[in-house]
Amino acid sequence: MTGLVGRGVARVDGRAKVTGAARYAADHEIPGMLHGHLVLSTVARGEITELDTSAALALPGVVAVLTHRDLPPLRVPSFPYLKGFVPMQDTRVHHSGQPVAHVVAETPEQAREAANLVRVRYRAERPTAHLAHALDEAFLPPLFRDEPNEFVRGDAGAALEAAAVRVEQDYSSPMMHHNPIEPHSSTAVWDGNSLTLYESAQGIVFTRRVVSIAFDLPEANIRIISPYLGGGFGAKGPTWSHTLLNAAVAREVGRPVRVTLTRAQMYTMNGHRAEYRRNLRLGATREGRLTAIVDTSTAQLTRTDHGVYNTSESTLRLYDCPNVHVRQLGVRLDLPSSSYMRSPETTAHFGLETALDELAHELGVDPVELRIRNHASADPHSGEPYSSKHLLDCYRIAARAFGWARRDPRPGSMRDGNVRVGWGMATETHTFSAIQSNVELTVDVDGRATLRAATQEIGTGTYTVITQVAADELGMPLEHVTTLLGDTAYPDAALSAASATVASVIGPVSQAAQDARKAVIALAVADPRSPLHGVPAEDVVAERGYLFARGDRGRRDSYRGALARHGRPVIVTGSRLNSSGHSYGAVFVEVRFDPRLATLRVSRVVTAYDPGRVLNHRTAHGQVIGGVTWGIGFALMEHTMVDPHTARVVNPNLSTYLVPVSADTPSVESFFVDRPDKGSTALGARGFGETPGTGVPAAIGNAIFHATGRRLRDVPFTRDKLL
Amino acid sequence: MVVSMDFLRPASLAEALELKAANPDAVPIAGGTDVMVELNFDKRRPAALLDLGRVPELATWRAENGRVRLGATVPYTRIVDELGDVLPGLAMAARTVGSPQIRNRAGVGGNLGSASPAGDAHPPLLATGADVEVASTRGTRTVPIGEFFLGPKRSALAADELVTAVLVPVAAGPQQFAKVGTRNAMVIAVCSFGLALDTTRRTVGTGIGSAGPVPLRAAAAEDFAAEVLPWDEPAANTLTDDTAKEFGELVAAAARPIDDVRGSAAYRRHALAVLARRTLRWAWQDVSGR
Amino acid sequence: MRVTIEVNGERRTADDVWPGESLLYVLRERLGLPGAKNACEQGECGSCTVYLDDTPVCACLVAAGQAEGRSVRTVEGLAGGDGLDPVQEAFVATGAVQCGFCTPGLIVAAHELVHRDPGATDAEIREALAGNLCRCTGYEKILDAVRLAAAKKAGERA
Repeated sequence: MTGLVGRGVARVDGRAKVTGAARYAADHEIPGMLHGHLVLSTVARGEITELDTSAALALPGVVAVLTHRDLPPLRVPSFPYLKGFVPMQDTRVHHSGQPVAHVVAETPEQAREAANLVRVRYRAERPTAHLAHALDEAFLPPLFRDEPNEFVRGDAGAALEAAAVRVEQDYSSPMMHHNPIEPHSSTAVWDGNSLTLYESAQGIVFTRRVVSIAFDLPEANIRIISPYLGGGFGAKGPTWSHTLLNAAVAREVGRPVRVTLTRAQMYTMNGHRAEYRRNLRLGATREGRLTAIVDTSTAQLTRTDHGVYNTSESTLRLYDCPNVHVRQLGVRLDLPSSSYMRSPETTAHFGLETALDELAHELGVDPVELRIRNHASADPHSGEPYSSKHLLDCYRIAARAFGWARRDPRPGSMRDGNVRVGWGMATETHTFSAIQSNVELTVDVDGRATLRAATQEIGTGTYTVITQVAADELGMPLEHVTTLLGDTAYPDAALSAASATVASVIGPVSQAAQDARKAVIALAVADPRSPLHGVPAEDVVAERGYLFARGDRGRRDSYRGALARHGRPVIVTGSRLNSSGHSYGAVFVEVRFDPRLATLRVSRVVTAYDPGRVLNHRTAHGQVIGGVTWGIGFALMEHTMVDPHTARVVNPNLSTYLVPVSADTPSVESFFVDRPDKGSTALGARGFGETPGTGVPAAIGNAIFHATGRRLRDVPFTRDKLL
Repeated sequence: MVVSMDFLRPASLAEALELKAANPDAVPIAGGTDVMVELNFDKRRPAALLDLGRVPELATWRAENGRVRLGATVPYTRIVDELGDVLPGLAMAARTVGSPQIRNRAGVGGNLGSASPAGDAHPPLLATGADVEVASTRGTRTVPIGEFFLGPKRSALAADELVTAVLVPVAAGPQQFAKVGTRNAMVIAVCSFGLALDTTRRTVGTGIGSAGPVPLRAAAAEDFAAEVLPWDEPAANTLTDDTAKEFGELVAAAARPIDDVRGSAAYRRHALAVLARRTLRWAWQDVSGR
Repeated sequence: MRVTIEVNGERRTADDVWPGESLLYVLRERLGLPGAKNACEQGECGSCTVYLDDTPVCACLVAAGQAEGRSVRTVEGLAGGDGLDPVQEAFVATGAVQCGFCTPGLIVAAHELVHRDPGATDAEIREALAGNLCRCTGYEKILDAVRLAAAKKAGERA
């Protein structure tokens, strides 16, 4: 152990990324490759009645135009393929922007031009596009991924009835899109019955499984390569239909084919955060102890699948309330499938944390104090104790740094000239998953280590943290360890989603590195040519690539020396399954509201977190700033608009679907409790990436209430709502 | 390519006009902000592109007869850097156009050629009573800016004509421009407002952006302000709240906004009233400060 | 048509260029320079920012023929030899890089700002980078990187 873990070391992939050398999915040069372009449906519901590809086929450079008429059958894969159907298998249209033809040409330009020439006629049926138009059809969807959509604890109805104080309100949020800066790209290369995909995928092992099912091909015949991702935020977690269609088309034309989605296509091809409505009823004692929560949400579903991706986890588990009733209803609409989008639980949590602020105001109790009074010291649903939880420290640390004690609780009481200042807060929390992960570590004859795992770098710093942990356990300098990710030729490891990567992968990395160190030390002490010959193995320490006898540092060998004499590499594997859980925090926000133009600025954000042990303070802080910025986008601007008549997205671009720019973001101060969770095999680290930001929309809304006395319950809080 | 496209690269204005006359379908391109998006998205495939980037006459500005003749392709970055003193309203608007990368390439000619109601250059040009200079091999004519916009994305430009310049009166008093967007930069206007005071002739000019099918003037507001502003006592406190309020309401009344993805009609009206009030105060403060 | 451009100091020629192609397309698809990224095709995200005759532009908004005879510098051409440009170093040192996809465009935009105005204020830095969207970092560390590189540059000049 050389103290590398926890340090904010610079990214090991930084150099490749700042020089343009990093190769993303659409950057790989593949000899003989063709280019595909998808033709998407222009109606949302109906049948294809005519499909004329002749003009497209007549263009020079066009190799093929495939449709449902000539594409071979593909099986509908299970999770994480989220759609209930594979497009281009029949004439049915389930949503606007569904693939109906796939054009293949020698250049991207030719493919795009030809795609424009494919003529499609439809028998269109009237679509339903908004929750508001079908609320009477809401139903309780069946199990999804073995999880129910209704949870009951105690008797919430009776407790609510008997409660001294009640808050009942509706909260809502619109459809939103992930918009990673990198568009999805998939390149299919067939060699006989074997398929290699260059993919922008958050879970290459998952992608391999989906492709295997769709093509009825053994997983061993499939290789997914994804060394770098230009962000994903959930959009690249599931495998989407373009990957399957493109691979099928590549097999048909007998050459490698690449398809890259356009920005506009990314609004119907790869999921989104569903539109939601939520009715929340809180019951409490006069002292502010929660006695009942009834949380009834209604999510947008499709007619072909019923995945509910934004669960009411925090209603169920965050606060110590004896009576809870959660129902996650859905309505079937003629829209593309929704999916997980960064910090999915934000959707529900926005309602809960706003309702708590309303309760605090009603009771005249400080919002932080209200949360402390309802703090859960054991999991309120299972009754199980936490292996570690320092949320109370988070409230204390962040409140002090923010200066919360100086807050005048009266709405509209804090001003700066014409500008009204508001302070609001919320608890932050998110679930993290843990996925069985495996790694392989090779110490080569040059004494340097290479670590291989079929996880991937989404941007959070996976290469760096793995390298740090491995170098630390091996006792090598950082630059002697190379981490290779993003290739299913390596051992199966976690996906880059559900805040699962660090929690899942670090355990096996640490185990493999320890085993490799022990194996090399064993070689050294057993080798008469080693200066360490005969030293008890447990008395040998590894530092900076050298091996020393404890207490006699003059007896020194090295990885390089030991491996050179051994003459062949030492290869070990690591394998672990961590447990899932929650990471917690608190966020405090200051807004400045100018009533004249109804302009709002988030001017200050202070946060504190308990993610267990922090493995790299710099990348962890990066997740905080990014998450807070997502919270600002969620609260103030992000909104996918759907035409109610055509069920088409009307703002499928970055000029009208607004995401925050540098001028919108305040500086974000963050603190970490940084105490290992003894229940985690990842050196005490928990999954963390999606916790920051979960409370931000509510904290902003609560601050707006404090600034103005107006309670907003429907995001985004745009200026027309603030007038 | 089956659909071929010519790339015409004139080296002088005369050559550009010849080419446009011979190829009326040729789409002029300079900064590419609008044209390249249509090509990239495959929304249109014109028979030819007419690159105005190498026509020196279009890329310069000069002062003449109390006006600035601003070439159509002078990029916004240069307008900000070089014309802030003489065309302050336009320079303010130029600062809010797109991003630095776009301001480095785009100029007033493209904004006019596209005739988008949201074009940032339009309100200051309306407020200052600029003329648009258009040319063809048939000759050169000027179109008053108020007559240039015919409808959403439609202008008085004939098929063989190019926008060559705008003729903008040198500021004869304070000018202001204000724009509201959903985020703090890099945003298409939800609505915008340009104001120009002429302290010599004692007139007020206005321009409204993104709140109607075309950029609009608020004539009633202009007449009202010209009439009631206490031109003889230009001190900050001589502009009454009632005057500012009435001016704002008249500007809002002149708008013809709709609800769209960027904002509601009601918000646009409200915001315009505030922008108008506020810019009038700022401008009047400048008058008194002179 | 044939297009000849000086790219990163080297004269490069592309044949059979469709006149409607963007400079970005020429760089990525014809000249093997995938550093500048294609992400929105409408000048909104700035991922394709390159120098065109010393001015940062969105390569997706430049028609290939408009670049004829001009000089282009991409992220691949900022550093000499094996080293890194100080702006690149600053991005690594401050943690301004996450997924890295917006990074090439941001580096070019930041490079130009740091050379033009190493004394830029925070507001000026935010404004100069307003045309570059980043979905990961929340921008704060990018601003740190520019401040660091600018301070170094100002130090050189002093």
